[in-house]
Amino acid sequence: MKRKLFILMVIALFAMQIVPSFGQEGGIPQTLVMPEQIAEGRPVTITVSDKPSPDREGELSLWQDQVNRFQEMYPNVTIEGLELEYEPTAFVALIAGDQLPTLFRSYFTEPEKFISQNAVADLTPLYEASGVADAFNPSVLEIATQDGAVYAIPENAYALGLAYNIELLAEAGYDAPPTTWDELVEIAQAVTDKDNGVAGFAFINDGSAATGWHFTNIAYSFGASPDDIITVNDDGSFTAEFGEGATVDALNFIHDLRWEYDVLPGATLDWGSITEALVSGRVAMAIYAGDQFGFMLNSFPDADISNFGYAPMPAGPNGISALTGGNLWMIDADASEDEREAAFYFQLWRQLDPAEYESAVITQSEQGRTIGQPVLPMYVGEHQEGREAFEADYNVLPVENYALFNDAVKAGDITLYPEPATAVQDYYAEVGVLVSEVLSNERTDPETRLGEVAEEFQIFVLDR
Amino acid sequence: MASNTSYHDNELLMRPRAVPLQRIWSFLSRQIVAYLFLLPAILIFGLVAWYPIARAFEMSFQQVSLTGESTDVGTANYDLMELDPAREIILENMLEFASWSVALGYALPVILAILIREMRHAKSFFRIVYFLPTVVPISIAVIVWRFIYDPDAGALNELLSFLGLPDQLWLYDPKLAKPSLVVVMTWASFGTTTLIYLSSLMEIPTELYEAAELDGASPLQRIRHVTLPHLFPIMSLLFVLQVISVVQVFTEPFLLTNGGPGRETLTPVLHIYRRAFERIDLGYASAWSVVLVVILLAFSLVYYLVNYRIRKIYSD
Amino acid sequence: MNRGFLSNSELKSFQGRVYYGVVVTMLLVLALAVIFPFLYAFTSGLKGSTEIFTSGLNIVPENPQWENYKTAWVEFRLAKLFKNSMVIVTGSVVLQMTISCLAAYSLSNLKPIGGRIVMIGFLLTLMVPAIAYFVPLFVTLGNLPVLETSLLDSYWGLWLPYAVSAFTIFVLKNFFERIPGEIIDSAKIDGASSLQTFIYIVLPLSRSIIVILSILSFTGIWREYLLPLLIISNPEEQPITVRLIYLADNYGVNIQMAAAFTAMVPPLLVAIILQRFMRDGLTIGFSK
Repeated sequence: MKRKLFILMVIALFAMQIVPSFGQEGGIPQTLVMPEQIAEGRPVTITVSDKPSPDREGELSLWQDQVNRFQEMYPNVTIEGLELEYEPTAFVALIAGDQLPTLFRSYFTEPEKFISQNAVADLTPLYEASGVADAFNPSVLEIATQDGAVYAIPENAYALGLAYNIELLAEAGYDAPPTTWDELVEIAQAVTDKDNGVAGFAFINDGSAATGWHFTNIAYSFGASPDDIITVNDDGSFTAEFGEGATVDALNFIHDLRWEYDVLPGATLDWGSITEALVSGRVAMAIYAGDQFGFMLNSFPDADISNFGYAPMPAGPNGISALTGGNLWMIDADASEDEREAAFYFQLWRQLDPAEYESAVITQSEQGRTIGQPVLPMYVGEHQEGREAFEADYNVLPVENYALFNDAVKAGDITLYPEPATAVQDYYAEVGVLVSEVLSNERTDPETRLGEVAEEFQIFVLDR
Repeated sequence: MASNTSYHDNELLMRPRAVPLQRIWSFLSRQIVAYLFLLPAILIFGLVAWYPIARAFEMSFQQVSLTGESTDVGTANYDLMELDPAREIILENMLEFASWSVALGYALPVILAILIREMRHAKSFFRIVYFLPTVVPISIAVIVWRFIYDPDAGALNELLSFLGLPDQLWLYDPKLAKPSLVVVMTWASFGTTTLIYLSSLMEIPTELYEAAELDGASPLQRIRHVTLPHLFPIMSLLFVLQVISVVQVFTEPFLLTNGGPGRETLTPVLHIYRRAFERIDLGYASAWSVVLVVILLAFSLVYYLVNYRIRKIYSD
Repeated sequence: MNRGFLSNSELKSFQGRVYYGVVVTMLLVLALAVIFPFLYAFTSGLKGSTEIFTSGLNIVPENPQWENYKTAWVEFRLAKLFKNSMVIVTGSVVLQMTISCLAAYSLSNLKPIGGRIVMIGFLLTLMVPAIAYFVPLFVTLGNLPVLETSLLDSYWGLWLPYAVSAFTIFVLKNFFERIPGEIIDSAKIDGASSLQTFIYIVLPLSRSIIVILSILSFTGIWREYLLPLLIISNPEEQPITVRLIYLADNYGVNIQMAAAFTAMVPPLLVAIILQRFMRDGLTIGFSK
């Protein structure tokens, strides 16, 4: 886990490799060698989360077709879908009741919680047997690794950036998004029009863990590293460091945005409503994850999506930094060897098999969905290049609007930080409450309160 | 004689043995039947009430994992409460919530009941209309309420701007968040208490009012000397129940403000929920539960003692 | 007539009429405020997705969009949510009434030794607020002692906790005690067993109180949020109180309002139709 800083460089290195591939003829290489038989032909049944619900007909039939194809390849395997999506509290109940699905999707922040409850399976033997680990972007795979054992299959990853309303900025006389926080304040002040309900800048501010997530991204930008938030000590213990340094600067800055520059919205925004605020023109610039553009396209069909650009976060004292996150799949610790094998290969096959991937891209694009989101590369080498070349023909999003972000990723200009090392959701929840306190009460002193919160977090979470 | 004696002996021997046996048997069988009837209730109460209550106490001295393993940690969980920065805020919030709730919602049902009692028409309409919100699930009503409170387009701010007043951030303003929640809580519950007062008022014999009127008591004096003394025992009981239920409020702050802004609407049960199910610190959450129960019991006890004293002085 | 603190002649005086007018107006205004959220949800549910943000105080939509209600019904799968709630609540009420009647009959008529202690044990659960032991209850249901199974994500995990009501037992016991002893004795003389007496004599005589208590429990459990949220994590099985608010954020405010209004209609209808029973139920606990 101490390797986190090194990983950043690895991410940056690999990001640089992804030069545009010039019309590769070879297509996507078959990276994954599927076994002849799963579980040596013994009958095996697995349950899998995230089956689309019946009201999403198109997705459901695709899902069913894919399952059928897999079951034809391996007639001894039965796959039962569950319309269950990851939700931290609901899964607490599933762990407690020993009712986890065999294979389920979760967030990058979560494996540690499951590992500490002995709830998920160690996938290292399966990775070794399949030899597929090399295809993954190693820094992404590292997120699924603890004490040398791999516990998850990463599916997708994003880095936070700045989404902006091109028109609103142009009306105020700016034809490019801000590149520094000073510029951001300047533009936000110019665009803010409280009488008409327009706020210059926004981030998730509902006081939930998502608020803490965006706050941490701002803190990274102000020069904090994951180690400056929660340090991993050599003896494996953790120290909460976020009570001082760049995190305090970031919180002071938020205090000023609200009480000095007054460029933030009055309403509380969460992951969904921040998109609504953007498309309805109530917010001009917002911290945004690249995969939210898919949500924007799907949920707001009337919105003019070409009016929105995506840029890297404004630069801070250490240049441009951004927080990364994503989704991954884990396997229930109670699953038998056979079930583990079936679940493992089912998931990898869905992600890596070129035919599966291509048909998914094609149908998604036909349904007008989410190809071309400004997200992070999941794989390395030929596999990644092949995918990008293939996708280029099916973009449904205005990719040119995201050039500032994509180019910066590829040029390695963005320091990509993973989320803090441990108990991330708990840490997010606590600082999220504090951000809400700063936003609602001018007298809140960021430095004192961050110190208190860090101390509480040390005693109640890290030392427990 | 001999036969006689033997007969007597026999009878003496028989009686104490046979009759008690029969009695014991019929007694036992009646007991068995009685307990068979009781058994389902005892089993279920044991499983989902008595055992968990005992476990709450036990868990507060343990570290408990989700899969059920527990290790004893002595009083560590209680010691940690001393260090919890949320503790004072929660206690303050508890008092403020209770005060707001009493201020906004305690006298209201009493007044309403007295007024409705006096209606000569449409009494049944008023009886049902205030009662309607109490049957609606609160987790569904909050969907409507959060839009009523919406800063941009909600009915309340539209009304304010119609009246030429500045908009308010009802749920996000530290000063307004608690009363805004208490309004929702009062809306959802005062109908029940109104009905209880009303049915109690129906028991007052009209002769008492007539007699007071003959004695020359004004309408207000009649309320003071006839109505209120009659309501007093129920008012006193409902006061305790109202405070106890406000202290336990969870759904409204959980769904409307998420305890915010900051920690302005953080309630004990919301804190317990977060510690138990977000941090998965079940032992620590149990310590909070135990303390909460102790506080509530102590409050009821002190209240009843004071109340008893006052009534005694009053009746002397 | 049915006077209160004011006599009828006082009410007929000028002052009395003014007073009466003022009170009626106040009560009507308050009544309007109390039902405003329902009206507001209903009309907002008829508005367009942008109209709802711009219509100001115009509560009534210019162009009612009835299809919003259809959208809400389909998207939120309200039929299924109602069904889930119905199954949870009906099961709980039936179980609660069954075990409570049995226990109350035993305590009132069969008089077991230690019955008083058992009754105190039941009443003890009223002293400890349920909300204070929901954490151990969750852990217990996740791993039942002796049986070693989990009731999480099973309706039993709700039916059992909701079957527990010391209040219901207490009221039923008091009611059963007031059934004249001769009726029960004559049944016994006719050779009826305890079970027969219970089913053919006691239960029919107690129909009204059982109906009242059932309605009271039904509406109470229908409103429950926290326990179902913790116990039932499968979205297919969740009751309307848990699922609706969870889904709400994914839809425009107008659709949310349509869904919320639809979800509130059945309880409101029940309250209006069964108001007499509900009123009796509420006051049972407070009459001497």
